[in-house]
Amino acid sequence: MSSHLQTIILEGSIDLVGQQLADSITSYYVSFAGIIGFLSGFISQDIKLTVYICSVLFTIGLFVVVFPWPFYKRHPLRFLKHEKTN
Amino acid sequence: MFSTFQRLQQYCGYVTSVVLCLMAAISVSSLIQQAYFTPTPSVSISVDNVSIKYGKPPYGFNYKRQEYASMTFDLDADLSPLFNWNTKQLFVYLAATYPGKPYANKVVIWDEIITSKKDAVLSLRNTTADYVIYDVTGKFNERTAAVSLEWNVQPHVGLLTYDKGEGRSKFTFPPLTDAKKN
Repeated sequence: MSSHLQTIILEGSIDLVGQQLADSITSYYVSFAGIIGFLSGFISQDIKLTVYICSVLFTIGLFVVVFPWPFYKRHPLRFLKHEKTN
Repeated sequence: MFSTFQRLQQYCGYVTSVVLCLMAAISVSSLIQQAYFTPTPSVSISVDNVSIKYGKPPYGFNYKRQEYASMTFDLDADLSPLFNWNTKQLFVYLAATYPGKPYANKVVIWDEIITSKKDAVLSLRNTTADYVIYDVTGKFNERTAAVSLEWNVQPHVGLLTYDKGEGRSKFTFPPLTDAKKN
């Protein structure tokens, strides 16, 4: 059980398409969160709002990106069958 | 992005970059705001009751008996335009400038830290200056001093900026009338 959990959560390998997806989510989502934080603070003239909005959005993104969710594993690699040589 | 720790590391790395860019944007935008979109605060100062005493000044590391000047002042200033979203606090001080050899002297006679916009409207009447002035030569010789209000804007993120108000007030150090002179 513990080794299974270790494989799923700690190793958390995902497939190639999932890796690309995680990469795009990171760059677009985090940049978007930064822009939202800046604009909200600038419009309300309150820097605390920027800090709160950015920290909440960045924490949400952390959970989305880091854990090996099923939508990162929809394109598993199919290996060729082993050929018998003798 | 293959394993959990790779994703954690890459995510945190990108968040750090974005936070740095965000801080740079906040700093630059507030400097622009301060330079081009902030009206100059109105300041009016008047200094009166300048009195000269002879003796050891009440504080400082100067053990010499010499002339020192104390005074009271009236001050009206509205510094609330200086508070934008990146202003943490203001350090406001009254500086007296008077000629000297080989360099002109600049002495702070009163200061205050303002931490919120609602405290930024100063209206002081007949207030005693916090600090006395004593000259390096020990004598004032009836020189004329100009008092102006200056401030530092201390931001949450970015550069500390220095500025001063338009209004200034002049006074002349009166001659020493104390009987204990010399």
